[in-house]
Amino acid sequence: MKTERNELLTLLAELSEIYPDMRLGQLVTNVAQWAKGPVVSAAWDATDQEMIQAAKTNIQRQRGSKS
Amino acid sequence: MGVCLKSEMRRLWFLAVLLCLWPFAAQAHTRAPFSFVPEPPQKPSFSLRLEKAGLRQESPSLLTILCVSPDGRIGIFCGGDPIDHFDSDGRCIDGAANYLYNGGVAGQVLRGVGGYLDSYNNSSAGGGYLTGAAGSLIDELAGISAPSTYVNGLSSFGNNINTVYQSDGYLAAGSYAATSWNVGAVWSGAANINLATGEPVGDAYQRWTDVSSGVASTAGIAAGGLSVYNWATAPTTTTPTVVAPTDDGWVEQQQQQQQTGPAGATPTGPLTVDPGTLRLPPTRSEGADLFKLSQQMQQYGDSTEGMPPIQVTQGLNGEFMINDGVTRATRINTYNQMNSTVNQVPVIVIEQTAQDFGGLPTVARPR
Repeated sequence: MKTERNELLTLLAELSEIYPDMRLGQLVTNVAQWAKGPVVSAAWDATDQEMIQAAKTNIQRQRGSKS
Repeated sequence: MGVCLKSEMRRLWFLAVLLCLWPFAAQAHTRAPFSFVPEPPQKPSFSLRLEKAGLRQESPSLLTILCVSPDGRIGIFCGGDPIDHFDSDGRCIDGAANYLYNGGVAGQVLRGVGGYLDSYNNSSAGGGYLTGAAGSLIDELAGISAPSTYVNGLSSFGNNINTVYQSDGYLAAGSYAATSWNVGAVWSGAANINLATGEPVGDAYQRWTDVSSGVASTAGIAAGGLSVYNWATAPTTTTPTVVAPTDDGWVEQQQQQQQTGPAGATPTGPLTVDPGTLRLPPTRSEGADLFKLSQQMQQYGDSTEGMPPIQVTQGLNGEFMINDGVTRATRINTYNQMNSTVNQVPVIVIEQTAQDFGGLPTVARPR
């Protein structure tokens, strides 16, 4: 598996801890929409790198809000 | 055409499901230990409401008390209905007291009031009946035997009227914060005083209706000036928002922090919003899943008690798009539409973006 994909999965696991009530598909869709905007095709179109960036940004925000 | 037909079919199906589930939802609603059981829609009679408050009505006119507005106009205290309407800040009745006390009993109507007040204590029937929940007011009135005691008695009514109201004007906003007089902030429906400006904004002041020109004063009624305040017919004016005092900025700081969180962090809430205004995510633009919605309606009814905050992303112009909680928002919005209520839901902002959500459908208007 690509390193990039591993990183994304790790970040999704971390997000799952932050948002335990979200279903996985819902979580992936939300990250994709943070990356690509509020469009139906976001989950289809977002690259792994874009998803990584969006996930990192959100994790950082959530950590900031709790510190 | 196909899309319209599909949309219409969906609406019909949605209505049908609601109608079928409504009895169960209503039943569950009353059974839920934490649910709020609303008052029945029928408005009980005035007598019944008095009894609920621990009072008995001796005569329809028993609770009709004249009062004088801050600028000297005369009206009826609480429109004769102190259960539904209340002079929360004591402005009205304090004005009446000062008026009587200062000898301004020139008008026939006020003479009647004076006689009524002077003899009030002697009416054991009336005084005896008027005990109970509204005792704060009634106990003070029961002690009245002369205008002077009226004033003295009412001075302690309503957490020191005289600390809030002064005959020569209103206290500055900062002074309110120092008193326990924050009814306006707690009871937002009353909104008696703009705590920021100190201006009178209460219903009594706003709805007062002049029926003739002239202003009553402590010297008597000038030029026949008389006003009548009528709760039933007076037009409702916009009730200004009561804001917190601005004495040291602490409140503003707290509010700011509540909305935006610590510096550099995503807003954390808790915020409450009208669920109908929330934007649906593009992947759920048709609204909630009807099966899940019906399950939640049966289980929770219209209660928001203990509801986990709806997670949203805040976009351009402060619009919120739901990331999690479409069904919860739809449930409360559905009850709001059915009951003509505006119950709000808790939301928590989990992400911020400059994206425009204006084109997305809302919970109230799904695609």
